[in-house]
Amino acid sequence: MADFDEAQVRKLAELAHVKLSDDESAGFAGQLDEILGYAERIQAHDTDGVVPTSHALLEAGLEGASALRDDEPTGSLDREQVLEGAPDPGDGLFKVPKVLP
Amino acid sequence: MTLWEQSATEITTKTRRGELSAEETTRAFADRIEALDPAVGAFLDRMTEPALERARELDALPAAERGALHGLPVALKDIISVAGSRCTCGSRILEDYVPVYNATVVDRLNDAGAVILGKTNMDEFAMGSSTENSAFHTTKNPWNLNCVPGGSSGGSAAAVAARLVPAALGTDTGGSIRQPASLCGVTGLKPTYGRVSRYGLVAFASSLDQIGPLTTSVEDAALLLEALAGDDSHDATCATRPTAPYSQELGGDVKPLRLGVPNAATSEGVDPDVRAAFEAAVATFASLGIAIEEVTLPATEHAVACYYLLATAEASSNLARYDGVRYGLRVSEDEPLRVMMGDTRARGFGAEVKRRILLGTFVLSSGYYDAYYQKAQRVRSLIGRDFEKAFERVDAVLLPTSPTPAFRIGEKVDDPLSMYLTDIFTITANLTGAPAISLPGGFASDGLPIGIQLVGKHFDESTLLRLGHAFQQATDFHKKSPTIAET
Repeated sequence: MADFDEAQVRKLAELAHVKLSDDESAGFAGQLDEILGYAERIQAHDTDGVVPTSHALLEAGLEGASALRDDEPTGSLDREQVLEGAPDPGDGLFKVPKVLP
Repeated sequence: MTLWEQSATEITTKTRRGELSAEETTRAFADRIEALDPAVGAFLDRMTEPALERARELDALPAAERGALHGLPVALKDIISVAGSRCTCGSRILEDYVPVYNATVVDRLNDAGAVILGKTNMDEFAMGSSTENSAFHTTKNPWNLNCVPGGSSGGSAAAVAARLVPAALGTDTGGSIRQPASLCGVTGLKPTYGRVSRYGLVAFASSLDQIGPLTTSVEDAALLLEALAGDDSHDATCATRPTAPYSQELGGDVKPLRLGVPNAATSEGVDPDVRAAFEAAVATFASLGIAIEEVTLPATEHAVACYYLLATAEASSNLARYDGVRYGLRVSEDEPLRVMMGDTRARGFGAEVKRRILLGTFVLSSGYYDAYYQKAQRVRSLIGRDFEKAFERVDAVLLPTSPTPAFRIGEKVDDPLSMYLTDIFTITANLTGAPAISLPGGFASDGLPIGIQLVGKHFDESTLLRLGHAFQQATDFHKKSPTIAET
């Protein structure tokens, strides 16, 4: 299993776009190590030939558990209204800070 | 009988007949919230003025146009979108977020004549079992204000328990309706995955999330489900199967039904008072003429491990959208994009949400995906098989809801794993997609409520509700209310 040291936590935090303080990294490393240690028990299961679930009901063979509607264009949310909730709207778009430092 | 002592069914029936006015009812519950909620902290936002206006409109409706929930005050967990009202999900990152559309369940409540009275507190993004992970405040258990109400729908459960509203909606990803229902002594139903539309529900773990009612009785849960359930073209995961007249089917004979009791249902880690209540519930069902059969569910001992690998993986993906670009909080706005995103998420998310995003990112990361995510999905299939096998012999399975009554505020906050383990009996219904209901099943020696849980076959809410109703005809635990409700 993976060792959850602080370096591992920092790497995950970077992948997940969450800045962590040093205290947080240290705290999470210990907790994630414990949680993952507990989760290791699933490895004891023999799952050879078992199909992984992606939709619990469809895999159980239940019909009518889900459906796609006909692909016909319908109305969507009002652009101006949606942009009202944005931190920095402009020209009908979401604006972001510069991408390159 | 004063208004707050009456069930949702009684209130809406009387209002529809004109024996009560929707405005007076709404005013009465708004007054209760005003008086009692400062001690309980169930609500994040009250909607008193728009609710009163809506109630007056309902009072003006002719009798023929009055719906099944006419004039019924309802509270919503603050993860369900109401156009024009903020929806925080208990998080700083959405503190000022205002949805521009209604969730389908909100439209259905409105169509049926309900009055939305406010938004309730919750663990941030529905991640937690105590409501202590709310970024805003901690909700108290109305039975003992030093204890947690459970979570993540703790605000909705506490609101119904203190009779601040006759009914509320919650969401359940790993037990978040049933566990707080159990800890607060109310009835909480998680319908079958796909039975109720999730359009307008902020997503946590999309293969597990479901919306359902918290009420004071099974009869009221059936009434609410009837209004909420059914196909929705806005949600591709919503089932197209026909619904049933749930509230009309409650009185049916339960005698031919068979109830499964797992051989390890009350194994180690279960509080003695919970065990006693569970055994008493088995005896109650037997006394109703229901056949009790022992069933084995071997894979379920791995359910918590399986759940926390899958739910965190889905959460890390679903919560990627909160990045300071399209809505919600943005900090460090003059810094480059990546810095802005990292700082926004650092400030906007609380510790539990960060912990789960990190774990989910790990589970999905290259090199570990097969060993954890795929493996957990295979174990999930085995858990499903256990239940399929059990349901060949029985119509429903009886389990405790929570291994303990409500714990004290602060008791588990620094120990995430022990908090996760409180979900041990509820998680399987989410992993398999089955419907499940928590019912008040007794009281611990210190007076705190204890819940019992029925898990049913997919889309067979009818049988679950019939069994639950029969239990509530034979017991009066659900009729008890905490002292605070009487003040």
